[in-house]
Amino acid sequence: MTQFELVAVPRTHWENANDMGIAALVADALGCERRIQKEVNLANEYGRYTSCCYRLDQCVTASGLLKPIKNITDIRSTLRVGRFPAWSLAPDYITLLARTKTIAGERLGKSFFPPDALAAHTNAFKLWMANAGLATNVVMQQRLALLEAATKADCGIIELQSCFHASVGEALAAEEMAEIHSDEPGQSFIEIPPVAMDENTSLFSVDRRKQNQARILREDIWRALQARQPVSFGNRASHDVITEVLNEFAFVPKGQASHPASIRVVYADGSEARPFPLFTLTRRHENESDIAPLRAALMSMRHLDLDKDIDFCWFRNREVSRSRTLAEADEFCFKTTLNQLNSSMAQGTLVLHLFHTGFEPAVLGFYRALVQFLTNDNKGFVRLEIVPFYFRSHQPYERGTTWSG
Amino acid sequence: MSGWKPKPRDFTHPARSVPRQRGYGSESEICRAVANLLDRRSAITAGPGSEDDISSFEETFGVRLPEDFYEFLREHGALRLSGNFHILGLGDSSRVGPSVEEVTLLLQLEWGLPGNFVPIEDLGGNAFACLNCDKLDYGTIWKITRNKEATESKPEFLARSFTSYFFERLNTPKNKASQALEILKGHIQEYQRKFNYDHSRGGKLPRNHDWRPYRFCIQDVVFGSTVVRHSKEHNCLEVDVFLPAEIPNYEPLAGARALTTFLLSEAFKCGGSMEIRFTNKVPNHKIPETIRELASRSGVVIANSNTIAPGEAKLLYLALTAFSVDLQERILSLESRGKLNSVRACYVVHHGIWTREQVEMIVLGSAVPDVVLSGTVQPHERHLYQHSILHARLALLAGGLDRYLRQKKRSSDGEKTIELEDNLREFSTRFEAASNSLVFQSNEPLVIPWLRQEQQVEIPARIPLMVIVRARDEIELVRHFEADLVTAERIIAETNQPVFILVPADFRALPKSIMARFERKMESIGIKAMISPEFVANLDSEAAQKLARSRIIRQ
Repeated sequence: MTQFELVAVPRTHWENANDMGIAALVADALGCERRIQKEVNLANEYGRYTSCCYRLDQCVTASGLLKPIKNITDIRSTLRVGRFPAWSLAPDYITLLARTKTIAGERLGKSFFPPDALAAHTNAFKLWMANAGLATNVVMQQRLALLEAATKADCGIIELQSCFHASVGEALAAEEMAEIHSDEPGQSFIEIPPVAMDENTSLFSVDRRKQNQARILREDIWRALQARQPVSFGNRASHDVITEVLNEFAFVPKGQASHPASIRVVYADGSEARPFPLFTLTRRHENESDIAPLRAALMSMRHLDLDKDIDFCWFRNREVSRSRTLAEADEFCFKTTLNQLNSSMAQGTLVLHLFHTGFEPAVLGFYRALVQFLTNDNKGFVRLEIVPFYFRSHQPYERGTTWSG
Repeated sequence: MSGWKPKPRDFTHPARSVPRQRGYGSESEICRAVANLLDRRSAITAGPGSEDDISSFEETFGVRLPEDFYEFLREHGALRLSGNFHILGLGDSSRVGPSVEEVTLLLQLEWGLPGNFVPIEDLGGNAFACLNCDKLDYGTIWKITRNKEATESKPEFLARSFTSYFFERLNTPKNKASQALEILKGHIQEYQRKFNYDHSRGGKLPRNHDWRPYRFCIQDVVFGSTVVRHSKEHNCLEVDVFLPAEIPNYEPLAGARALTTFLLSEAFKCGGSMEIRFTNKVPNHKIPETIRELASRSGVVIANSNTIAPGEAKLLYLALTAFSVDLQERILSLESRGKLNSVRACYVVHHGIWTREQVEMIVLGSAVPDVVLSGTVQPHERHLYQHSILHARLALLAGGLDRYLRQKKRSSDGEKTIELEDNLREFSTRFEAASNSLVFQSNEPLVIPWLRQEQQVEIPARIPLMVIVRARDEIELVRHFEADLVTAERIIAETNQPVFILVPADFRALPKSIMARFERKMESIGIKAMISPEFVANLDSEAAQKLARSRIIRQ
């Protein structure tokens, strides 16, 4: 059984470099976190980060100042006598933590929270609890209460994990209970609007193989939405089919109210990427834009014959094709696209002719970022139009359905 | 009597007066089968024979060939299949050997073969399969043997027609294997031509959707060969060749087991749906009997004739991985709740990342086993990563003990200890999740390793040995070891069995006062510490490597 103890450590220990050594380790670890975001020299950063966190845990444990508390109200009295209050969480915390895997931001899932970052983390945690249907979960409430009390007491938090305690039977029971309690009503049902194929989505009407792939993918998405199961991408359908089918699902169907939903995305290597948002965009039927389009290949070094026809490549192949899981490649493409769209849109309206070059994680990452960007109100009044073009052997590239907003 | 005398030619044969039907309504069975063999590159033919040549043969020897053999000659001339199946015919003798014309003439002259018989295959040992063109038994196949004294012997009936004979010969196990070998050979040649890969030189490796030939060996013993690819269209694994070997001194179906396990692992690695399809090049276009036999022994029912469905593949994979029944149930229960991928649990064993026993410890011991087995969390997801490391550490520490206990030691002269490869001690292992302990039971006495102060303890045969595993570093030992001893005391009271506690080498680094306290406590409850030679730092480093290897195991 895994135990978690949340230890409240007063601000002075976080700031005084000559004290327990926490300050230096925290600064080092936070630096690693920043550099890990940039994905440069990851092996070194991971090694350093692990070492810092390990030593941080040891500093606190070896200080001899830990004092287990049973009530939140004991925090202040414990701190007054120069001890660190340690609050044990119920054993299913680890299973709940596993749900934060795909959540980024405000350091969810980390093991230390300096006093300055604690309030922001507490708010993010509260929000995540609500979104994940865990607002009434006992463990989550315990943790939230301690975070709030520690914030008030001007402390930071260090979370200690230890394993191999008796008995796992209890832990499993608790874990199963946690699953039951976390399924709040309303979360278990997703209303799926009917999606009709219109002429925009009949791109593959002449290619029976692709038609078949599109039909299977549509069925997979329907089933996944109903059963909340992931959809497996990468083997069943090619990237052009994926793009066109996702286009059908990304837009709110004609005459329907918006019912935002999302599908879980799993790749052939078993890794799971961020969910893909569906039914969030409103399709506009506008005349062809008179703005000269930018022409881009999705990834460099894949279709070199395109080079003479394009202005640039959206992704650099060497940055995407690293040795990592496909979900991580998808995440990289997602973040890169969001950044590039943000900076592009600062220049005004953008019409992009995007020549697909394969590699499904790049496609999914790109269009997920596009949907998120188009859904985001901050984009202002500028127009964004992405027109996909698909490679066809011995024929010109075929124009796909436009994504615009 | 010396040999046969040729019978006078029967020009009054009724069939001769009937004109041949040209252009059959549908392709004959033989033509389809031969086309299939040619498609697999497992046979060569002389090429279509001309009707004039066939008529000339009939005229020369005064026979009327049956329709099926006539059609065969017209379409393919002659056929040679991997050296031991050769239908004589007409056409280019440099490609397929002597013609039916040459052999008929030779046998009539040397053996005195009766004129109603047309030799169609040399069966070896002075025997030929011959077509009977006499009006009695017209079209039947007979074995005609010439014995050493060159005396007459009685013809032996083989088949009622050329078609029956052809398929009986084609489907003999030896021919099936020969066909598979020919297909394998074709794949290997194609593979060399396309990829030119060599272990020593390197080169381009095939992608999942290319046909890939594999062979499985233990030292110089070949267990089998197979050729597979991932089918993008059907999102499954396709098998073109499945050729297991029966190996003396190994358990029955050992070759089939190795190949089937590979197919299942490959189906997972390629990222498909776990469906396995056997192509029409696999004999009879059916799942090989050896796989059905393996499935049947494992209680897995395969419904289709040529496809193993994803659900069936999962169950077969679990059974072939030989997880304990309890563990299988737990894995399937976790899978039904979306908390574990059963196929991944099997794959990490066959991929050599974890042993079966270690998977059992992880699945039963961790609340989030899929996180540990998939290795997908990265160090900056601190808690989940640390959880993975802690459980991997536990599995490695226990794995070290398991390995040590299994190794038999033989002393040749009382001084020198010789360890023999593969000479392992058999015992059962069970993981008790409630106390994080292992229970070993052996039919031989077990000598307990790594005890302090050179103590020598031997557990008699058939007595369960319980080892509480605590993969704690020094600081954790200080904090939690007393609680661990309380657990040990409870277990001793409940089980009345020998109980030990396994800890890493960090235990030796504990301050003397604390160590003395622990020793007093251990002595009072009657438990001994087994101190592994491995430090937590080493175990964690290996654990991190294992997690990294687990991360990218599929393509």
